[in-house]
Amino acid sequence: MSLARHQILSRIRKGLGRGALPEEKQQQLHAAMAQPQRNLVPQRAQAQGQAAIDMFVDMATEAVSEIIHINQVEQIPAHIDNLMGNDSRPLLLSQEPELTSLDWDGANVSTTARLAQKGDLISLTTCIAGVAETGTLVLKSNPKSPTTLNLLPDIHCVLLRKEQIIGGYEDAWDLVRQEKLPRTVNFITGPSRSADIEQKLQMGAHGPKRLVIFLL
Amino acid sequence: MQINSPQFKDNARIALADANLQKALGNLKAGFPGKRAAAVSRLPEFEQLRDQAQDIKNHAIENLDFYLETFESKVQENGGHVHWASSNDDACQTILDICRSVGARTVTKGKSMVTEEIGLNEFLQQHSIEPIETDLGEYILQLRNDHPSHIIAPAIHLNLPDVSEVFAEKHGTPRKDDPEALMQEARDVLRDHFVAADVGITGANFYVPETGSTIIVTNEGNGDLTQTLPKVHIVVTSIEKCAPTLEDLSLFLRLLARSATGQECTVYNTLSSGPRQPGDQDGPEQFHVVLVDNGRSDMVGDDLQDMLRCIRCSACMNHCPVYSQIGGHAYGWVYPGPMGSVLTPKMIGIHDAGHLPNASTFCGKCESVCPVRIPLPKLMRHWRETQHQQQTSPATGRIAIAGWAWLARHPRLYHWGSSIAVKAMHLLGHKKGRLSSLPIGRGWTLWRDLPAPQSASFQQQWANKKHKSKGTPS
Repeated sequence: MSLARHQILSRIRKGLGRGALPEEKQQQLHAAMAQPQRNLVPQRAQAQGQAAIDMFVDMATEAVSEIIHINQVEQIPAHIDNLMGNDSRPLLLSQEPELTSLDWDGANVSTTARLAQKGDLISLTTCIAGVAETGTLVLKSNPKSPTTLNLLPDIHCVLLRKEQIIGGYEDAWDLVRQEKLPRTVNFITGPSRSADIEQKLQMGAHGPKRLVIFLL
Repeated sequence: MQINSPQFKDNARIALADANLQKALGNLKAGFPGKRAAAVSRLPEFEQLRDQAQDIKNHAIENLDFYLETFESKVQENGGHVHWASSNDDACQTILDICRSVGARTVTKGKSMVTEEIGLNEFLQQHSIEPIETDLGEYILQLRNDHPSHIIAPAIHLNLPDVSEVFAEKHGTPRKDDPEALMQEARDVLRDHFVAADVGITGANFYVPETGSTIIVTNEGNGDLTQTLPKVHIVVTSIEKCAPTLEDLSLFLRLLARSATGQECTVYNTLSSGPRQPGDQDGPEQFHVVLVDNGRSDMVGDDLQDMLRCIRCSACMNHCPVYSQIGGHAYGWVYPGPMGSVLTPKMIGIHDAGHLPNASTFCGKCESVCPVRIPLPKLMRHWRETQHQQQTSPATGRIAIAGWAWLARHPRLYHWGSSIAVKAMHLLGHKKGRLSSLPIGRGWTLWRDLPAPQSASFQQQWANKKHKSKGTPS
């Protein structure tokens, strides 16, 4: 389809009344992309510290995420056990040491390290940030935490530390840029939903029906 | 997709008389405008963000060749492939070739208006590949052999019994009248398709040249499953959907959700940058982007260029008094409402789509809510002027305009004629103050009364007032 490529670019340039951009202008645009300038960042998205934490909790709750406040990471297994009820299906655990090292046997929770599949009940992952402005979690795909864990189980649980809470989306991209770009970055704001039947909002369309955030 | 735009007037008449459709459209009117207004009022910087969005999109279009080439090389760096398609046929063939290269028999699809535009589903079916829509609304429509009537709420023209009926019939399950149970049924059925599909096809709300990424914005999570589970992910998007950097993307995400559904943020905003990386346990092994032109490059530098800023939020149709009365199908092709009335004539020809830019009162609501400030009434007027110049607008209208123009150039005759007409209409409507029928204006008075004029024309009243004020010293 290189012919199509040539045709499309030629038509665009004809419309703009010029040829390809001069080398100098191209360098300018490349430089601008290498140091991307922020646009107007709403005041709300500039919140910091306790104000950002409070806003995150408010906005996440508004988006129907469930927040469970914890003082130490060791409290998670008991909460997971609670969420699982009498269901015997295992917890899908992303393989970060801070999660795998927890005392799961002690809480009577069976865990597994596989990919998620149809019929899975619950998963637990970490995230790289929580965005205060809209109560949004930011997750990156990586070998230890397959993306399907965020999508297929009925309940998705996420560990978020208060120091990971940032003001706006721009701060999240800065974090993403610190390392090699992953295959996918998920911004997740609440559980899955649809209003496609008569515009009536129903929770749990294709993704998780519940999104539980352990706020440490 | 079959083009029914030439029958717009008949379509509209049928839509107005369709009680079920009118009931369904009530959900639109009761929902979107109020939710948008509430979300906008919570973000004081919203108007400034609109200004910046307009500037960024203009900048992107003015350097579109550069950004497309940069995007292509970044995708390749990430291990993906970019395909360019001038026409719908090119795009469909490219997608078919990719599907065949991996022996695909079924593909799952996220919601994508560009794939509606290129007629992808019909094309794949003709070539023995089964496309399965996974967005709940699109899935309902596919079961009904129906098409979207709205760009983000595709099944807005249906009511609950329509869904109950088609699920019971096609799934062979007992009839359910609870939306939640119906959604659960679709969830269960589609789970198997997600897992079994060989290829996943999604659209993209934006592509980002800075990182060679595409992004999809969904509430259901179907787009994410569509692109994560199969071996191959194909993104079908169009050349103008450029957000140069992730910073620009942040701005557009703030505008898009609020303008579209009135949400603070859509549930899943998913950035995709190539196939799975070393060590990744899931994600597609191949990542393809098909860049569709289909007439867009011709809009660069012409009177319709502003339309290339469109981010497909649907605010224009959600607030349109015409759309909200007749729904999307009346427009007769893929894109309805004000944005469709501008785009459709470009894509299928003004000859077939001539009624669309005329189906507007120019109330200006669409422009007032457009997040990227597209002057939609002006662009519709562009098409009306084109029709007038090509003499494809109705002859009665052209004759009437020519007559009025002649009269306006003969002031004495104009005053004489208008004062007689005003007096006559005043007398005719004297009792009620309005006219319920007019000899040459039946199209107007069929649906509403015409307010009868006062006994004198504006100019006469003005002259009288001036005369009086001269007579009374202040």
